Amino acid sequence: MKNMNEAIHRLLDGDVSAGDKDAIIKKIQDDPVLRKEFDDLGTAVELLEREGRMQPPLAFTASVMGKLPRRADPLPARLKLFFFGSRVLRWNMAAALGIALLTVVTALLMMRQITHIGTDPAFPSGEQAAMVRLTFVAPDARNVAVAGNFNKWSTNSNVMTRENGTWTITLPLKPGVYTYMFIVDNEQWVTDPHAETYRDDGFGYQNAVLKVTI
Amino acid sequence: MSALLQNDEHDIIKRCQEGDGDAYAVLVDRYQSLAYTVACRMLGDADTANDIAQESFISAYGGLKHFRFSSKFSSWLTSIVLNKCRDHLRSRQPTVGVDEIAEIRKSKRRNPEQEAMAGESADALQKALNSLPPDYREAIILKHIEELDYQTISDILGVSIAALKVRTHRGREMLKDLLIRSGVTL
Repeated sequence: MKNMNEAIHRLLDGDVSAGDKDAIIKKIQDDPVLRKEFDDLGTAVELLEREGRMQPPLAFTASVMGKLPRRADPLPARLKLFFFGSRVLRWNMAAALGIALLTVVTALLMMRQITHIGTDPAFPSGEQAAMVRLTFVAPDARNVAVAGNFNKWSTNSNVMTRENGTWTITLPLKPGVYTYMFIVDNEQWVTDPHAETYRDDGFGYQNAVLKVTI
Repeated sequence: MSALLQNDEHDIIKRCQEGDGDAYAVLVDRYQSLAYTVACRMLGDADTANDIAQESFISAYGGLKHFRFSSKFSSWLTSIVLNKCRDHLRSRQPTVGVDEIAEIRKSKRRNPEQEAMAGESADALQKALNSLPPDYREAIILKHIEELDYQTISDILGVSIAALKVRTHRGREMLKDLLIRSGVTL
């Protein structure tokens, strides 16, 4: 019986020759005890084989890959990845609004700066200006100012300073042609005697003409 | 495994050994079911089996640089899974989640009556497996669930084929008796 029991296991293992197999099967069929033993063992084996493989959770591979230790890449590979590796920008609404606000504020500040430069009286159009020095000798005058089309003929915008009887002023003027006169003691309009040329002002006087180039 | 698949696997392992971590995902995908099934049947608990199977893949990745292709990757991986299962069984009392195992077992198309009977059989089978000594259990799992030949099992477990046959025969006898006691029929 013990030998037959081993024979049944060898039969289940497929570990018998064709001739032995027929003989073992015949003995099993002829003996009810052996037949039951064979059937019960066969049932156990069939149950095992029927169950087969099981499937792990869907995220199994991703979970394993996420836990693997990272190996350090060689320096050239890291540099290549740094410069040429594609990146994914992760953003949220708060960050996007913050960046948009920063962009708007920067743009406004730049526009304000440009406007400021454009309205500077010394540089009305942003062009370079020449510093023009005017002099007028009048030792007895109490004050002298210069009025011209560069200051809309204002009599007190550009007051000259006295230096040993000579009155001077330095004006930033962009390139162009200007006419002007000196006003002595707030009332007397005097033509610059050292002007290069003169132009009739329509009231019987001569305006000095100044040509500015850079 | 086909020769084509073996060549492919050889290349994948080479790539892993050269530092291409992404290539390892192919191996994990290919053998996750093997590792998980062996762990589940050995431990009788799905959550623990999932952890053990994952740990096994992580250990295998760490040891892959020493892999010399003297055995199949699947055999090497199975031996790692079984070692971890043995460590786990030694360190703590096994928790038997038979119901859970029954829920996740491989689905076969059966009618509701057959499904119910199959469910009961699956529960009884896992309980019976849990009752086997671990060395009998692993021999039975590899022989009749993984359907490996004795030579491959011998390579995995590192025991002689003669000793394996003894374990398998005794394991089958015990399993049969346990199933009869639980009233299982196919």
